Amino acid sequence: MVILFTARIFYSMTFVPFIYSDVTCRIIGFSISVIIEGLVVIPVIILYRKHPDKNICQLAYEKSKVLGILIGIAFAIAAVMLMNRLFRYFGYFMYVTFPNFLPLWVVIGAIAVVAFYAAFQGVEAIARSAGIAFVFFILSVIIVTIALWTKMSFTNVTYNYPKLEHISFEVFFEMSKYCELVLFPILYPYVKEKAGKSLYGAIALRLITVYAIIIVCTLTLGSYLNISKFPFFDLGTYAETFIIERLDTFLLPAWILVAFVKTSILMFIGKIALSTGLKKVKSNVFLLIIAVTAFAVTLPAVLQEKWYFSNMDKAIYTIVIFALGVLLPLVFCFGKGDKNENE
Amino acid sequence: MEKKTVVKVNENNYETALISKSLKQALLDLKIISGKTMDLNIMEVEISEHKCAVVSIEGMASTSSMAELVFRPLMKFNVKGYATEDDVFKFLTKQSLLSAERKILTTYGEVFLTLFSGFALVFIDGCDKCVAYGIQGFDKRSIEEPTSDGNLNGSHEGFIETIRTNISLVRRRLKTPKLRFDMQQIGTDSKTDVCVAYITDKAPQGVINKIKENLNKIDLDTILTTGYVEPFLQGKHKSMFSNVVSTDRPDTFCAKLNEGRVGIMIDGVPLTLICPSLFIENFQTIDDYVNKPFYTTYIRWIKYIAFFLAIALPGVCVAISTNHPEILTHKFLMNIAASEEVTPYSFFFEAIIITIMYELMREAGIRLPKAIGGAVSIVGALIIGDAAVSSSLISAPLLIIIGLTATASFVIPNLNPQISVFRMLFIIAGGFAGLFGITLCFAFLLINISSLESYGVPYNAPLSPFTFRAMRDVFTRPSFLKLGRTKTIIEDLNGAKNL
Amino acid sequence: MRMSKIFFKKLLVTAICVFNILSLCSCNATGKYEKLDLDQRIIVNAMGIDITKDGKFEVTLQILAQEGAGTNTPIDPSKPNSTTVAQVADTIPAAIERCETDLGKTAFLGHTELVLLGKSVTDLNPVMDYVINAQGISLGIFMAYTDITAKEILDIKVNSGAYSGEALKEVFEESLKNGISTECELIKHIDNIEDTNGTTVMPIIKKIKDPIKSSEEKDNSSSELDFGESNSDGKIEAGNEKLEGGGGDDSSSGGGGSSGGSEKAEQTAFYIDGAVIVKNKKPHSVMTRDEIAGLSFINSSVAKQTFNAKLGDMLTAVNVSSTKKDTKVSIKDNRIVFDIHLTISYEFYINYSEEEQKEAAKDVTEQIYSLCYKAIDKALKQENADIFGIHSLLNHNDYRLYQEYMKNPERVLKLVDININLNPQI
Repeated sequence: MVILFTARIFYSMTFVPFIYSDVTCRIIGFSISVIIEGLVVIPVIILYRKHPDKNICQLAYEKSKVLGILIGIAFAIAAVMLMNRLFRYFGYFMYVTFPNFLPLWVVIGAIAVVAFYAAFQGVEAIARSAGIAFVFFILSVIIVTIALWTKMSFTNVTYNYPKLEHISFEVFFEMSKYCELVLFPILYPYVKEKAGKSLYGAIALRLITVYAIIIVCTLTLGSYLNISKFPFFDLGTYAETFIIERLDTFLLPAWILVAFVKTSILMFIGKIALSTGLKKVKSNVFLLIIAVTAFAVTLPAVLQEKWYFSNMDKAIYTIVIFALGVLLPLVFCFGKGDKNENE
Repeated sequence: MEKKTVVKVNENNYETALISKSLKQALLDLKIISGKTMDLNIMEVEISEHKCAVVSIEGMASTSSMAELVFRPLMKFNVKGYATEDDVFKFLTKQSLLSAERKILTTYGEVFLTLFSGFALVFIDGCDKCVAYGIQGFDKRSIEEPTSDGNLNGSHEGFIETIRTNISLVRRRLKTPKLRFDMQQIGTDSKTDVCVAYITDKAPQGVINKIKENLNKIDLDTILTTGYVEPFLQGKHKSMFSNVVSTDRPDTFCAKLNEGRVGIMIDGVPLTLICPSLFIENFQTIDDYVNKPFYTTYIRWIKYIAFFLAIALPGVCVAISTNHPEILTHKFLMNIAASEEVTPYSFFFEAIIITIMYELMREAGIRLPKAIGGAVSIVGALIIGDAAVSSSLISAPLLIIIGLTATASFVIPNLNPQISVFRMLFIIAGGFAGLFGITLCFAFLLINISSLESYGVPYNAPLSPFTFRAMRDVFTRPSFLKLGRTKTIIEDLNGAKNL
Repeated sequence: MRMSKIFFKKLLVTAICVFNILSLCSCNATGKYEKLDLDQRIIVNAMGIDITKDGKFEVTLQILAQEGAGTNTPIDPSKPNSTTVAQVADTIPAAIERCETDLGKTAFLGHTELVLLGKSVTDLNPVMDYVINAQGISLGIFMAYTDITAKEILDIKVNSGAYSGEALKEVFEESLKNGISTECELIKHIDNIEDTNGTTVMPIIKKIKDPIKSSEEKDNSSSELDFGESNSDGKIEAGNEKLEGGGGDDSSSGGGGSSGGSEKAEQTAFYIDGAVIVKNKKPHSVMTRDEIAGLSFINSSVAKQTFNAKLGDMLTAVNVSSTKKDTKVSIKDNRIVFDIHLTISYEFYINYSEEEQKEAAKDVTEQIYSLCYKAIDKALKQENADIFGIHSLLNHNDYRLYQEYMKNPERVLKLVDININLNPQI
């Protein structure tokens, strides 16, 4: 649950897209997207109930070796794509907030190296680290909220009648971020609690956290949200405590830890997806291939400092996520019974 | 069987060779096997007209005990009329109480093991067995206060080098029959006694078996310190942290056994090993359970803070001053900036220099004899504390930071090796990549800790995976009114498996 | 198999080592990513911006003076700790770059407390563009105007061990509590400008040469600014006398504890007096101290202010603080009426009888009414500027009117009436 939450919250921290719409649309769009997400995870949960010990690649492999390999490759490509987007987002975040800090390829590469080490150690190590990262993130949100308590004002809130186009954009935008849907079909054999509890727990946690971030941002920053690229980070530049003059850099570790957890779990699922079908090769070789590919694919964007956050980009990710996270589990749930069941 | 005795016994095949019936041959065998070592004492005597020999190792057996408990009764034994060698053997084994510990030995392997453990052996001509009497009298250190794990209010007894004494120290504290000591000899040459201690209904059987299995895998000539055994108990994992903890305190040892851990005692080493161990246990001391809960809770938090200060403070300071000065409050920044203005090197380089200097002083202080050790601190105080600052080589704020860091690291002595290395890593990461580097270093540390498992128990339990019940003894220290009733043993921790 | 495993491990370790070495080399070899030690940076306390006669930007940076530095006592309180460097260029970043070239160090703006705009700055657009986008500038920095040049204010040497930039910040904070300054954090200005089509209020900082004479100077100083048609009348009436307590606080904190050394002619200090109404991101007119006090009451931001109340023939001091604000919006006779109910608590220094307290409170209440209506007259009636949060109130109370406001704020503001109802509590 914590992994899923930590993996997903990265986008919520990085982009609270008031640039595209206002707070009202944002809240409505986010709420709708959460409801949709609650519905689209059902196929995965059913799949888990049917086969709690086998991930989707293993199920496919049992039906047909070729199918298993193909689905494994598809998930690995999805993992690389998601990592690519994560690296671009993180690169953009560093580019905007700390432009002359480090070469961006070093930033991305360093995260990839540490994430590789984490993925190499296995999902349990990642999960335990994610627990600490989660606590760190929650503490950061709480500290920033406390530091800004006196600066919040309801006069900063401006309501607007929501426009359908803005809301639909928000929903679409949120849907392109449903990375749990790709993670879970591979990860659920490792889940010790019930799958539904994990998924809905992560969704509920995110709901609370994102609402908290939106409320704090709106009450504190007011109309500045319309021009801010990273509202949550900008909260830090405004927050002041008696020990720390500004909390923005203090928030940086939260970003890095969350990005690191997300990268490592994506590397891990890529490795598992490939090694299920291609058993002859050592799984760590796949891990290395995935890490290097994700880094290499991102390198041109990072070196050119072009980030490609177009609607087309979002559409592609939405299609990939829904194809692998919803349709595929749906096919395995309600398709023809597998060999074992027939026997 | 007969053939075996005919084969010439030597130092390579003596282990299973049976003792010769002829006393003369038996004593010759002993001399051959031991290579006529000078400390082998053989005293030939006659008991009821039967040739006998009392064999011992010089310095290992107590001479007074030997005179009182062996020689005097033997000399008094005089069966009127004819007495066979079996009568003598019967007298030695059944009709006399010469010492508290008595063994009947049949092979030369057993003979040498007991002989080198301080026993006195009585050989009888015509008898293919010998009798061993436990009259050990080698010199040993008396029980003293533990040196490495000091405390104020707990017991002042510490383990010593003799394993039997250590066992008695534990047994005295845990008088339950469920406490078991399983002894085995490890080391092809040293034959060191290694004892596995556990409480049957608390320690998971899987862990006990696994530990014994690991101990059996040890293929070393000698076992001289805990370091010889530790890697075999830790497994193949390459973490910088250790899932085996050592203690020289019997009370800590007993407390851990009571929590379901397994203890390992090694003869000749005053330290005992405990596994599985958790990261959080490095912050717990026996004093925690003596002081009032409120104070212990407070001190525990201080220790957690100390860990982060010791490991990350210089690195974070370097990161902030080099890359993120906006974090510091205005006046603090101005003070640091002003003091940095007059120093020739960068803050980063200064931090590295002074950290290395500190490590040098510390290492010198430990290795030098106590009489000279004080001189190191004088040199350190004079050179670093005064001259370096007054000559503007190093800025005063940095000196305060390193001083604070060093003091913080003394609070958690168990983690000192890891702290020292990670401190330097954090400084380098902070200097090159600011808080970004620090965070990645922290992530590396996190993974290093998280990936470690100790016999199926996650090393960073009960923090992650989170176990609420066990957390009460992590962030707080409940009163024994509650702690006694709700004590968690390792099996209760979330994430524990294959136990 | 074992060989390949060992080879894989070696390859991995080599790859990671190569990456690390490359990273470290690129971090240090590229000038862009050079790590700067603190002594290679100039820590900017405050930034002043003036416009020269030929339309260029003159940027003044107030920085830490190195004379006060020493290893054991890094900040020597007996010496002035700040100095200034100024340069002229076509743009603000270019001027800062020239300052950096002069000093041979890189400017660090992360600790800038104040951006001070000289009288000559008549267009906020380039300034706002710069401060919003400049790397490291906090959203919490103060922005204010001065009646002279920003350079002159930043050149003030403070001898108290603090920096004049920080002293100014303290003056702002204290003035805000006392109700004689408007909120002047950058984020507030951005919010106001975004919400109200470029309208905000910025306090004015003034320089006084002799703190002893500060009160006299203050009386005569508020008319020095001239931003177009609606000039201040420059006369501070009864209300200003009552603000002396706050004014006195200002000068002492601004002077950095220089009350003992006021004989020295060069001893200088600064204080806040009035504010500039900015419309369409351009300074438009000046509000007096009284009007600002009224505005502070209407916006309910007065933490504690001392008034002098008439009690028979004598004057007595009353501490006033605003505790609660309720606003109702209604439409009467085609006018948008805001009924603002302010709960104000009075605290007396001396134990007067109940009747005496009521009499004094009545006097103070009248004074506050007067201050509030002065502010309304000036800002709303004369300047048609939304500095009372009308935009937000309309949004929260009447969405239809809010939409009208968004279409044509000038027209809506002309239809607005504000009624003040004070609810004094003794």
